[in-house]
Amino acid sequence: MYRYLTLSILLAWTLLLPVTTTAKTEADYYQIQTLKSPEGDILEIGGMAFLPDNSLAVATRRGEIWIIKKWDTETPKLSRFASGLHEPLGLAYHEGAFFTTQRSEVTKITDKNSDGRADRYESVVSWPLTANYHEYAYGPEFLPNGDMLITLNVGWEGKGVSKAPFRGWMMLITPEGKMTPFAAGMRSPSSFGFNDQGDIFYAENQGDWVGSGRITHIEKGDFAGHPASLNWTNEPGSPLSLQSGEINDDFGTMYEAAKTVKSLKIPSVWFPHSIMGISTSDIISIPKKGFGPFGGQLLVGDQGQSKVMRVFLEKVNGVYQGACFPFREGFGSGILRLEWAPDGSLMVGMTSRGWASTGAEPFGLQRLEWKGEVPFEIQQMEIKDDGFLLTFTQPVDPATAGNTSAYSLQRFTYQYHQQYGSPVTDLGQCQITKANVLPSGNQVKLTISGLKPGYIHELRLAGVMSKSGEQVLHPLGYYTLNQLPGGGENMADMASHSGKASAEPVFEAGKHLTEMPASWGGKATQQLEISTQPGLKYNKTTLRVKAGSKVSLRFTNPDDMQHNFVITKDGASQTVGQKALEMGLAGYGSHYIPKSPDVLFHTSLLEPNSNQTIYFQAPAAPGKYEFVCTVPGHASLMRGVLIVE
Amino acid sequence: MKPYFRFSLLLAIVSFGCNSVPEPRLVQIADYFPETDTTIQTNLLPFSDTKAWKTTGWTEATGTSLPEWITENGTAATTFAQGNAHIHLEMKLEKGSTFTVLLQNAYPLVLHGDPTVEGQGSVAGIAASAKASLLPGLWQTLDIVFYAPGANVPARLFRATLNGVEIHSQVQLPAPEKSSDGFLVLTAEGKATVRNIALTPLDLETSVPALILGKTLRYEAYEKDGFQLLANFAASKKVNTGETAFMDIDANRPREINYGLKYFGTFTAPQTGEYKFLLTSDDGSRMYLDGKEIITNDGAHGDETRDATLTVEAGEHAFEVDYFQGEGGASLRMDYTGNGLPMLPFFSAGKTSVIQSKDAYNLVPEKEPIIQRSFLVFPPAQELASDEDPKRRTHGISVGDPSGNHFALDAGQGTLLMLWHGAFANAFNMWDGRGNWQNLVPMGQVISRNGQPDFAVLAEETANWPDSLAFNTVWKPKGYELNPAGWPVFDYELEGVAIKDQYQSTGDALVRTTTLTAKEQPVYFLIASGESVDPQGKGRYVVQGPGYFVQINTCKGAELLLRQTARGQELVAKIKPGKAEISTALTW
Repeated sequence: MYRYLTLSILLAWTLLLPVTTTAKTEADYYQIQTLKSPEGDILEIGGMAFLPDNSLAVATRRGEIWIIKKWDTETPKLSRFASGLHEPLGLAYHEGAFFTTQRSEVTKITDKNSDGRADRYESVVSWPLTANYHEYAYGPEFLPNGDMLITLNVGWEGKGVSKAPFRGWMMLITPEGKMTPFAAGMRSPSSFGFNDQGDIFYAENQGDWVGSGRITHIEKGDFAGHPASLNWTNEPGSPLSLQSGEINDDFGTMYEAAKTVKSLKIPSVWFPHSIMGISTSDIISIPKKGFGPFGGQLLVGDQGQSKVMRVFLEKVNGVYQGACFPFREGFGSGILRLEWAPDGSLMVGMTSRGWASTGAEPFGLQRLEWKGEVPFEIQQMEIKDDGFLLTFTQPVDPATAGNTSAYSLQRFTYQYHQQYGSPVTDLGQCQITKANVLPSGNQVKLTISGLKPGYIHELRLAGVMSKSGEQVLHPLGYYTLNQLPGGGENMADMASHSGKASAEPVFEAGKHLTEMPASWGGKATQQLEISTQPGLKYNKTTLRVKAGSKVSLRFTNPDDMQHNFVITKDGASQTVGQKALEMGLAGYGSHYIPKSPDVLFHTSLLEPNSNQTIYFQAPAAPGKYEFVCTVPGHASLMRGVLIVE
Repeated sequence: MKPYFRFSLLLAIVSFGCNSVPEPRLVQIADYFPETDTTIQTNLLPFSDTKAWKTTGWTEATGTSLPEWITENGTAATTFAQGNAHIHLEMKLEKGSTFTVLLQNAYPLVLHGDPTVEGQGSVAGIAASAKASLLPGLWQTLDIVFYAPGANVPARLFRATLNGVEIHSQVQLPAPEKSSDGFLVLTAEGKATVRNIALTPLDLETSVPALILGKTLRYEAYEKDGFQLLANFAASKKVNTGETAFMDIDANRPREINYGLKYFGTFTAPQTGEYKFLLTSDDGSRMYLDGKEIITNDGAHGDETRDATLTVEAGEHAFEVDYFQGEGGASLRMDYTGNGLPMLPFFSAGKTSVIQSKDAYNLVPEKEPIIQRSFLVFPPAQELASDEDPKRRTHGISVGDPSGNHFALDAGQGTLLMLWHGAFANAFNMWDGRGNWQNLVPMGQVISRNGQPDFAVLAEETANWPDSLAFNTVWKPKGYELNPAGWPVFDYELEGVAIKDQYQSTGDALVRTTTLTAKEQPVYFLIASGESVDPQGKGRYVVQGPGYFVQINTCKGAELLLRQTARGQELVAKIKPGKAEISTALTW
């Protein structure tokens, strides 16, 4: 996405100043190294931990723990330490023992006879579950006092359900194995971590009650938004008493709901879907030294888009909020785990089984190294009552950085409802009235009217240069505004904020008929059916129709996420998929259907467990056409061929 | 709660000292009446009934709860022609003995006391389709549905089931070399014991299988890449049609993967009544009767059985069965019951299985045991309504033994669930895609125990055994430790009492050694339960229904009880306060 943005900015800039500049890329600053694993070993990474002897331990979805020595060389040495676990999705090493979370328990694993292989698998705490596949369990993460945190997914039955105790919760476990509920409202909390203050943040994935990816600061007793978990608030030890009946679709937004629902914790940072990933994963705090100018900030992985994003956080009136920025893309598989290696590089653990990722490998381990050069970036984006204070990593060029037209800011929000995801809602422009370069030389104060708590503010830079003539590597950030420093709510309000979606999408005429044309006389000459399958697949890879026939096509989506079905011209499915991705914020509301002559016919974006029949007249010209799901991240896998005979 | 236990009556307890090799003191219980199997309509025993039997070399056993007859090299023949019949027979063989059921005194079905002998379960030289024999000394159950030859129809073994496993389905039997008197003849070479022999005549005019015999089905074969759902039939290509006697996917399929088959035929209900149809397939299938979809078993999955019970009017009804195979295992079979008949195959040629892409997910123990946690389908065979998921154990642990004594347990209840030999297990359902089922699938013929917890605190020794224990309050799984050979010692906690439960295969047997230190709580260990648990002397017990053997090697700090309940018998160790150690060897 931002590659495309960089190009357009470059274009804009060239028009302004006829100076040739060489655009830097992420790889000029942060380099990806791939760890080779011996053929045949299937390392679908569920957890990672570094050991006191600097070797790397990984837990895999096939239930093994491997110890990898010489991970920073061409020839890493792997040895299997443990096996037989039930899909462990976390790994910690604490006081001489491994701790992992299996589907049904937290397990302490030790090697009593020191032969390099585990011989004791101790159940720290175990819990009942219903055997729903979506009941994943993650962790543990250790707190400084030796207690552990884990998270438990809700089950999936066409919507998130919590049919076994504390599904959808974060749980606190003492070393003795006493488990108590800590926080509720989670849907798919695959990842959680700490910032440099030791505060807990968890990452959530778009789904029912979750408009988009996000990270949320979690304290004991918080409710993070998904109501299925509230089934258990009457259990002993529950730190909150909220009932699921108190949550409904009528609040509009989470921000509005939190005014009524006191325990509802609104997200610290939203990651707009398809732009800032599609499935946020591990959260890790950047060390002060050794990884560039972002010490103390967070990195957040994304499984579906195989990339890592950066988060600047600040605490305003006691509430965390901040901005996310692109950081590094191009990893080999779906990123689930991030861990700092002893040499200061970032170890990236990946698996994409069951969910496709931009990186086409089924699994893998890669390492991200800082090459020592400081990129020109927006290092911090701090909220002020009248705007934002941007701190750059390098001194700025006052002429370009002081020009208000080099900045644009729009704001939007997401809906809070049971429906899967949310369209970008209440999109409106903010006005940048001043851009003052401060005496420090690397800071710019933007004075803005239209800032609005409860909204995500998209900042785009076009033409801001560093003093040494570099462009901003990632001229895009999304600031989630929960609190203005002076408190309060309204300033120079320019747009309504009803929490309602933008108008219904307007599709191009004739491409999306959901009723049979009257001229067909009530009869289609050909009826087709196609449905989705888990793992980003259609159940068919080929459809055949007669040229010119009147086709009714029933598209069914039994999967646990949204999909669409778009028929394109031959060879155009990937272009159309890319165009859908480039729709950015507008994508969801337009059902990811780009306006393009390459798009012939299409369905709407279908909710899980729904279906739609569309009608179209097959092209008169026999030949090959394509069909594709244009939901971001799906197009490369979810496609097939339509043959017109 | 299993309904059975609501009225379970503990009638008596047999107890005996429990030292290194205890000799059991057996006490006959005066008012103990075992439940009789009501499905057996006509018990043909005793052999002394000369109106029914002509026998040589059989004697009636004494001291058995059910009438049993013992022979060495004896023969028993009915005095009447057997005809079309459902034959039920229970027998116990010895190593080296051979037992032959001579259907119509012409078609031999042969069973050997040693399950490993070639030709086990063959009928008229036709090999059995599955291995289902139990070890010598265990009661085995044989059910046969046989149709006598007619004018233009050869004799057919409609179905034979050994120990609940189908070994023949709709086998056309070769004509005998000489004419036959039509009597049913049982012969033993070596020692054998029989009980519960029943013969239900099947009326050719009214019994449903008769109406199926000789009829054919029309089928259509389809191809479709990525065949994953019944809905894919719409876009599939019809490549072949034909006629077939059975729904035989191996014979009718157009290719090995990604195909669909539709079968069309007529079902004639001899009388109006309630019929139950069961459709089992891997992958998906559905059944229509009179144009109405009555069973839906959609999706790409392993063997799953869905059923429908409905009233069917007497007369002819058109039916259609659709089936598709994507990749991996493939099977289709259909059964029905009703009209007072035993469960019978419905135009089914028996199960076929093509394992291809799933092979890569086989777990193969080579040098040391494999221990793998997963969800487990339990009981292993379940009939499901269309919208029902199989019952599963979520804290399953399966252990594969290089020498073949595989087992699986539920750590969440401390229950040894299943025992099997042969190949160990397949992980396709948990390691492919998102692993939506998360099941590890045992690959051998499973001996399934009843699933009750193996340990419990009982208020008194006559208390009913619980069906489950409260998780984490009464019962806590605490993990396991591997011994130097890689065998697991499981740790549990039952109301604060630590239990260590070790399993290790010796090749010949699976040895289970349980140690615990009981305090004041009356802790009991259910070593084995079944329809019967019979002491054989020197600490050896034969467990019937399910069938396996238990050898008590060590029993320290505990007293052995043989509890007789309305369901059967339970071999229980009553743990005395202090340290106890019970070591048992299981064979099956």
